[in-house]
Formats: sequence, C-alpha cells, structure tokens
Amino acid sequence: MKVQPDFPLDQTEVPPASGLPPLTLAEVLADIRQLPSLPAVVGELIRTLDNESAGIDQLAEGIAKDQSLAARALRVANSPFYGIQHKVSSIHDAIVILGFRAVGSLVMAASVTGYFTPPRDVPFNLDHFWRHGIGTALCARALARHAGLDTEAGFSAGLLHDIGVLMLLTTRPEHYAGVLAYRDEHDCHVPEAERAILGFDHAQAGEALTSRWRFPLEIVRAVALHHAPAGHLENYLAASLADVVHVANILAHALDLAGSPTALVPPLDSGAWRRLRLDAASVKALLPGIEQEHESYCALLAA
Amino acid sequence: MTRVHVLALNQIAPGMVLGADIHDAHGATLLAAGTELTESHLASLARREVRQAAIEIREIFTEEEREARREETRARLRHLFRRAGEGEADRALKQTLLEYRLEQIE
Repeated sequence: MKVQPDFPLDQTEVPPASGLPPLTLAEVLADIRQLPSLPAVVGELIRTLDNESAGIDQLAEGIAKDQSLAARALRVANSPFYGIQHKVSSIHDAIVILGFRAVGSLVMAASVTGYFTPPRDVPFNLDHFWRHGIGTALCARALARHAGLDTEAGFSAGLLHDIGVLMLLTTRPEHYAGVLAYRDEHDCHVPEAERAILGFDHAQAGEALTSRWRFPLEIVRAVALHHAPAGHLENYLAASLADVVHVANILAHALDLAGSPTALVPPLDSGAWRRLRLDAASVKALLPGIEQEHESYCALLAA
Repeated sequence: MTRVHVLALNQIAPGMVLGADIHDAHGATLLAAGTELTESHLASLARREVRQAAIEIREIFTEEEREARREETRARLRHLFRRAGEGEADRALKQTLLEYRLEQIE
C-alpha cells in the first residue's frame, strides 16, 4: 500500500480551498483506521466473491443472517429516485426481478456504499454517483463475461470503483468541496482535480479503504488501477479485473448512464482494450443489454 | 426507437413487450426480454407476487424529428468525448457509440 502521494501538493500553484490546511494520504489512512468496521456478514459476502465454489446457498445464508443488512438493502431499493412508485417489500422481490447472485453482490455493495453518508451541504449529486456506479457494475459484468473472468467480481468491483470519492466526500467534505469546485472550473477529469487540490486521487483512497476492509486482492487492484490498469507489471500479460473495471468505467460514461451534464469520457488504455480482446463489433453487441439492465437496476436500487 | 420503462403489474396489459428478463428466486429466467405478454403470463406473474416489470415502449417519429434527434445525439457524444484520449481504441469506442445511437433512432 502506498503511503506517500504520487503527486506532491504544489501549494504555490493551487492553494487549498478556503485556506484549509493541506491533506495528505497518510491522514486519509488515519481516517480509515478510525472508521467503524463493516458488519461481519459483509466480510463473509466479500470472501464468497473470492471463492469460485461459493454457491447460491452460502450467499443466501449470508444475507439472511443479518436482518439490518437486508433492511438496508430494501431501504436502498425503495429510495425515492427515478419515480418508482411501488414498494419493494422483500429481498425476494428484488431477487425475482434481478436474479440471485446479482442480489448477493448488490446487498454486499449496498451495505458498503450505504456505509457513507456525505454531508448535504456539499454540491454532490448522489443520484448521478449511483447511476454511474450501477452502470459501471453492469458494464464490468458484461465485459468480464466477454473476457471469461468472474462476472460477479466484475460487478462488485465496478460498483465500488469510486468508493474513494464517497469516503473522501464524507470524511473530508471541505477538502472535497475544493476538488469539486476545481473540477467545474477547469472542466477536467476528477483525478486531475483531486491531485491538484489533495495531492492524491480517489483511486488511491479507494485502494487504502478496500484493502483495510480485506476485500479480495483483485478487487482492491481493480479499484486502485481503474484509471491506469497497466500500473502493475503482471497486468501486461493477461486480462485482469482492473482492465475490466477500467474499460467499464469509460463505457458507462460513454453510454451517458449517470445522466450527469458534466459527464466526461476518460482516456482509454489501449493495452486494456487489447487484453480484453475488444473491437467495435464486440462492444456494440454488449450495449443494448447493458442499457436495458441499467433501467431496471436503477429503478430498484439507486439511493 | 424503443425505450424501456418499469411499470407496476396492474399497469401492464396483454400485448406489451418485456424490456428485461424476469427471474425467479433461484436466478432462473421466468420470462425473457422481448416476450409479448399474454393474459396468462400476467396471471402467472401475479401468482408469483411479481409487482413490476420492465416494458418496451415504441416511439414513432417523423423524419424531421429523427434528424433533430440525430443532431442532438452527435452533439451529446461530442460533449461526452470532449476530453477523451486520441488513440485508436478511443476513436473506435467513440465511433461505436455514434453508430449505436444513430441506429437506435432509425
């Protein structure tokens, strides 16, 4: 795990917003150590993702063990977003519509993302965040299937790839408000704004958080490397979950799934594109299914 | 061009077309996307306590409206890709999205 930021903060060029003291990645690591731990069942669900022989029964048992987790997943399903007027009253309902393994990874991810409550006074659109997260998860699942990788690990890593944004927004709202203002002023990619204002980016924060929570290594890597999937040497050799999440993030932006006016398609890593054996025709074939699924997932699950 | 909307079961009539698969509790597909729903499908979904489903809505446009949509589509893609990379893969992706969106309008 990196402790020092890759990009030293240049205070002369970019003073921190509203005279705040500069923030370091080391301080973020200290923030993470003070966060309450995840519910035990979430750890179990995460570990079943790492275990290819883990079956439906194990996941079902995991969800059933924790009433408050099931309740939280339903609260997410019933949140007032996107005009769904009909109450989803049971995990059973969600499963009927979405399928079983999908609900397992969703319950896990909903509990992780629901863990952070960003303050209301920061100008951040949580609906767009969720729509993009769900979109990236669905793109990652489709790309993982195309590349012969684990589809549910792809889904979870896709849904969690920006968890660092949510954590920074919640634990350091004043600093992150500066990042958002810088991004809007320069119309740049989010990691650029983060490096300019914080000296590190949300992928590094997400890496620190997911490894603290003992997520499977491939998910930690995918979160860490979703903007630069060639960052680990072994990724040059075969397609990895980091490649999947990298392209999924870009595809979700290209499909405009967040519905955000400021959406921006990041640069594509040609190595990831090649390792996943993608071309125009294979990508195009994935798009209708992703868009269809996105409608029903957002209606059910957005916060 | 078709869009998919999630509707409550009591708003769904026979003849409507499913826009997404419906699964049972074990993940098996009960009805596949593209199925034209019948009275007996709806009764069976009600018995299984399915409360909503994604339905395809077909929209019909005049040529003028289609041209306006094509122009909107190109402008939105230019906006989304305003800071994209310039490599071969980036260009292939942008072209793919453009073709996909324009085909959706036809």
